[in-house]
Amino acid sequence: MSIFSRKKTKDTTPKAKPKTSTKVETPKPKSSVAAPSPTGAQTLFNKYAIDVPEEHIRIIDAENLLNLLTDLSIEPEDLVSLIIAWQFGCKRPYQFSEEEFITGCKKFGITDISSFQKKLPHFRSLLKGDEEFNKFYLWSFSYFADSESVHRLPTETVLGMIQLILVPRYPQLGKFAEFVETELVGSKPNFQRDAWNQLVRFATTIKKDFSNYSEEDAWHTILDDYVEWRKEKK
Amino acid sequence: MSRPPAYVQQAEETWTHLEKGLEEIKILIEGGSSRPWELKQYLDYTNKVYGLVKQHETQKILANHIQAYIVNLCTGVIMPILKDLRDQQFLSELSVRWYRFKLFCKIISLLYSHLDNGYFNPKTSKPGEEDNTIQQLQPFAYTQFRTRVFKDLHKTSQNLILSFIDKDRDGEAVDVTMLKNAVDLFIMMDPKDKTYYRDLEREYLSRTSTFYRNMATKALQTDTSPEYMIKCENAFAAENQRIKNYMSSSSQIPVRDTLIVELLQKHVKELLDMEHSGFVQLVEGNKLEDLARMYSLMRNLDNGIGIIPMSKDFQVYMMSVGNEMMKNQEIIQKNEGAPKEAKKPAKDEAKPEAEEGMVKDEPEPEDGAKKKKKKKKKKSAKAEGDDDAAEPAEPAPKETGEDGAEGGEGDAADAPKKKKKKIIKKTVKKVVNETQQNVEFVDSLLKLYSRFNKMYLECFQSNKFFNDAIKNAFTDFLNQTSVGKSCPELLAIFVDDFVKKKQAQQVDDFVKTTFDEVVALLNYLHEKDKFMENYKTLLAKRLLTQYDQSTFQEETERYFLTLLKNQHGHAFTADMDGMFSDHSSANTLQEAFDTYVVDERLNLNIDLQVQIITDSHWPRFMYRELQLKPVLQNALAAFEKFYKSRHNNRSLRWLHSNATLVMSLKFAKKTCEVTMTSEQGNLLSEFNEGTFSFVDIATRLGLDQAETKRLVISLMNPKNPILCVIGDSSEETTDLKETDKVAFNIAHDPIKKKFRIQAPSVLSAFEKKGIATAVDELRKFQIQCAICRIVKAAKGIEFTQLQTNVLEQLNLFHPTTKEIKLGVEDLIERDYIERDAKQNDRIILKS
Repeated sequence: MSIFSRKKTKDTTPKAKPKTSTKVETPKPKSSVAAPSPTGAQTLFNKYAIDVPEEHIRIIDAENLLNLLTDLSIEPEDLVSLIIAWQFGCKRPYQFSEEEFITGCKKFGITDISSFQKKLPHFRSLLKGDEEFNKFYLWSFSYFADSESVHRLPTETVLGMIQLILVPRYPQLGKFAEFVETELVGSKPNFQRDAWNQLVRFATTIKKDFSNYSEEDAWHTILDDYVEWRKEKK
Repeated sequence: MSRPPAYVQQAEETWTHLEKGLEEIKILIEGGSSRPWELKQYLDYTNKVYGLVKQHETQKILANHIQAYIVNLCTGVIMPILKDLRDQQFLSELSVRWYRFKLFCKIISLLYSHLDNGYFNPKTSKPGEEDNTIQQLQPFAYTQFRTRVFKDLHKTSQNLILSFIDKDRDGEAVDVTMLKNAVDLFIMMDPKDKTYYRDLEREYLSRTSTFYRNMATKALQTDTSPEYMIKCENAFAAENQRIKNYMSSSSQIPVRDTLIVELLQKHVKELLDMEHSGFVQLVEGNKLEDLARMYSLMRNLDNGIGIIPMSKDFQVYMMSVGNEMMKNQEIIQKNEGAPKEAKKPAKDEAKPEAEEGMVKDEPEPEDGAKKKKKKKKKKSAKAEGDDDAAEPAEPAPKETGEDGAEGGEGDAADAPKKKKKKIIKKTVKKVVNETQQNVEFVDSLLKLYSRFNKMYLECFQSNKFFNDAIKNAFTDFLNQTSVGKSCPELLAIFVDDFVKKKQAQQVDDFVKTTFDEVVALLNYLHEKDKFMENYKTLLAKRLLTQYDQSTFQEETERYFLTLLKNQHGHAFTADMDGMFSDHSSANTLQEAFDTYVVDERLNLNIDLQVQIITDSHWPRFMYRELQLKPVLQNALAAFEKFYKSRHNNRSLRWLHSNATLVMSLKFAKKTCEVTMTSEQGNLLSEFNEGTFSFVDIATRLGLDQAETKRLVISLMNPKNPILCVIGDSSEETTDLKETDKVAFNIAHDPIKKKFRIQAPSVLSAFEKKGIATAVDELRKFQIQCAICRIVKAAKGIEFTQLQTNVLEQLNLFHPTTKEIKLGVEDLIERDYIERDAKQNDRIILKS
């Protein structure tokens, strides 16, 4: 299950949430100026954008994002959708602001659906390197948390993120996802950013039998609990 | 041949005189003459010597004569005497001769000191005159003795000396003076290098070592270790004495070392581990004297082979004893829930004729406490009262009757008739037992500690290894996490019980010792904060529910608090100090209130005593609303009004759970004044209206069931059953069941007219929870503060180091890694600190 499918139902809220940032407001007059001869990107944006009258801006909200993904033949569970958000510098989950979208399209030379589709392999290739992946994965927490200064996300959301982002690359975290699902969801409503930030290092440095894991090291207690859980299960 | 010059002749003449003098001295020394020289004689003699020394020519003559005299003394006198002697006679003679010779030399070197100065003195010697470079007289004499007497005899004498020493060791009587002089000869013959003495000593040591080697091997076959150690001790003393008697004191250390090696070092393991009487057995049997002996012997060895193994064994032994105790305690705690055999209630049946009983409560007032809020200051008030406003309770709801109801009507009287009462002995006992058992357990811990501490102080002379052993052992087993109550909790219960005792009325030695031991044990506990919270809660109970404040032993309580303060600092006891000052300010307020009541012409019908407590110092209390009788309500309202008039901006909350009530209860035979907690009183007055199970009561009063059960049981003490179970007596009751109907025990005939019902001193579930929460919160707070301080001071710090530092800073408890980690995580989330992006195990201050 992806967070998208999870979220999209609940999340008609983000768009209702007033957006406070001022930089988004400025583009609006700009875009109206540019309106007479809309670029391809603008056309594309217009196709999916909706008005947020309270803020006098237009955005692509979660629902329309889903439409866009469908048109691009991307499954909602496909990680590439997140990579796009990352590359476009999206700040808020499940939506594009006008500026984010237009600037992103321009950056990647996207003018319509088909040119967008052609770019997809490029996006997918971005995560090949560990370093890039690391940046992406750390970014994703802020993205879903809607802020860099928020340090916790609902455990369910994080579970989705683990399954979408981490498990495909680090299958050893599959058990961890199981742990989160069975042990944490329900009893611990929140998952800390601090723990999230340690997951890749955990996946890459700790041996399968946990023989090089020590609770005395600086691991997050969630990982301590996980290792114990695994050992008990044996 | 030319005639010798006149001066020569004169000198020779003088010498004959002088020689005579020397003979006289000799005789004197040998004891032949009893006439000592007088001053005149002495002066005369030295004058003659001086006369000769004055003239250069005669000097030499005199010198030659005296030298020849000495040589003759050695070869002509001493040697011939010794030549034919053997063994003891020889050695004896030798030592005597030497002694006299020494004495003789001493005297002549005085008499001839002019010669020493004028002739022998090397400073005045002229080149080429060999004789002038000769030593002074005494050394010369010694040299003569050495070369002419000693040289040939020293082997013989050495062997003789040694064989006499052997005899001495074997217990034969020997001539100590003889030996002393003989050995002295060995020393004096070469005072500088002492080669002769060294030879002797070497041989002496080797014999010593052989002797004791044999002795040890033999003794260890049969002796127990205490026996053996006594032998060792004697051996040390004997050898010491031997050295003092005739050897040079410089030999003391080598001999001692020899003994240490032969007697102890080679057998140390054997000795410590000896079956039935090894070190551990001695500790076990509390053989203080033997242990002290063992310690002082072992102290001679390197710590690594003697003292440290002992302290290790000591530690292991204490741990095993301690662990055993902890295990038993755990088993007991586990079993506590198990039903115990029921005993038959002493009196089974109530007399059927009992008239009716009436519980009358005099409501005494109560006490409750309120909380008042004033600029952050909250106080709780608790009131206590005694009086008679009566509210009838029980069977016949008579209106306030003063006691009128008593003999009266038999309304409900028939109820008790048919029913038999059953007393819940067992259950009640259980509670009593539990506390008692807890107290006994701690008592046994204290005894254990004091026993080992005594060993440490008296036998092991406060050696630090043993102190560490005690510390390690006690820390180890006291901090075990057991299923039941933990040690901090038990210790607090013990103190609670102890300060209530009569023996603790005065701070005497007994009290001081006990407290010292408690504080010592507390020091070994990791969770001192847990003790503190428990202690605080129990102290609050003592301060508040002690109905009769005269039993509050303030001096003792304060003494203990001072000990805690000295040991753990002000912060540790700040709350308790606050509680005490609330307690002591109660009187003033009470007086003011009493005056107020009179001035306002209030008729409260009861005596109301209120204790105001400052909320922040006290443990969390359970604020339960009680449905109060009107008379109480009025009284409380009056107080509130009074208090408001003094402190307008404080808020009061009545703390009923800690209040006391004095009620008069009408039993069939007599009416009694009974003191109880307001909760008990309140519950009791329900029985004015019939019989109930505790579940019913819980519902009626809106109380927790377990709590209610506890209260009901507290009124069923077999010694003083105010309430009883109605049911068939043949069925033995072990516990109060939910279905058991309980009624006022009207047939009961208390011995005293005035008495009090002991409130259960066990902590209620609520109080326990309060303690746990308080401990947790305080810990979290302290851990996080420590982390912040450390990270801030260090700028950035690795997690392991951080952990170490946190442990160092916190001495009231030992946070686990997990607790520290959670603290870190919480602080990260709250943006105080963060992990270094480059180095994950490093914590830095959030920029």
